[in-house]
Amino acid sequence: MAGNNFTVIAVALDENIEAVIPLAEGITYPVLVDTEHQLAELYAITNVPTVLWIDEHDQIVRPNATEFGCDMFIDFTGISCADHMEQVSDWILNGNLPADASHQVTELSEKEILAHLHFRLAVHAQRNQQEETAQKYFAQAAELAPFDFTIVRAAMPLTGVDPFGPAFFELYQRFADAGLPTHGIERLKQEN
Amino acid sequence: MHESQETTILADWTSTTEAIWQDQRPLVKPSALQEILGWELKPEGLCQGSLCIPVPDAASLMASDGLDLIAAAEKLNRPTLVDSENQWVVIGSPAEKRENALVGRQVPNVTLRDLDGASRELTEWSGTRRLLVAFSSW
Repeated sequence: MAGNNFTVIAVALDENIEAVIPLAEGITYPVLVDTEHQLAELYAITNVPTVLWIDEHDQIVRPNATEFGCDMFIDFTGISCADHMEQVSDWILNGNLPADASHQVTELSEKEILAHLHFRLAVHAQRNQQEETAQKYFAQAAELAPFDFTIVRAAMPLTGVDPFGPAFFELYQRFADAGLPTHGIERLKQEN
Repeated sequence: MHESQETTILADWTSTTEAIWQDQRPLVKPSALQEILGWELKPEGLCQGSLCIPVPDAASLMASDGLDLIAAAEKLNRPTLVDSENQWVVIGSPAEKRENALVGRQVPNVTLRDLDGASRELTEWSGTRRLLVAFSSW
């Protein structure tokens, strides 16, 4: 869809640019890093990958939705990338928006807002080699927003936990048990 | 008279300033507010450029040793958290800014970094339809 006045902008919800560089290899569109952990707070994003559609007037025309760039995770999530790509084409070429684009993203709770503040203190503590203080704030953040992956899972590699290991699957199970809470468009389906 | 301590403030960006800590509240030089939050305390209120929020009880923001940073942040509807032991302050986004994004659907100004560490903003791509894809290394 190049040449249609369209671009992808990838934003890594990471505190360290270094961690992102290997992932951006060979990618031709802009890759940015939210080192100050503000994007998730401002857009009420609680997991990745999350996609937003933004028009030429800086309006968000389709808010937060979990979408994958390929079918790799479809068995796990039930989300097809082909459907999303078709919808994106229809928007770019014809200006059509899918019905779910009108979804009203819900506001963060007081606890979630506080969780982001604790997370930022944790990252700052860690940047200053204050491991114990960092652990304390990461734990408090996770307690305040137990289903926010941008907090609980993002803290894993920063606290020596494998974010692709058992801790992630335990987190996902708790998240599923809680009904897959999200502020954005509900895309994940409960297993029957 | 308390001694001033170097204090780190994590807001839209990270800054350091001298602050006097009183009852776990950092008091800063009023002139430092611009560097910390991008706002100034003026006779007409808290101002950012030509935009001013009237602060009728401006005196309440001032203590004998300086400007009460937490009170100023609260006036701007920004949540705060302090670590008085380490002299760290974190100031979250104003509620209105998130509402503009979530309800007003307007792209909020967020300063991000590119892979070279340079500051970038999403509005640099105004005039272009964009898919904003949030991903991560975790």
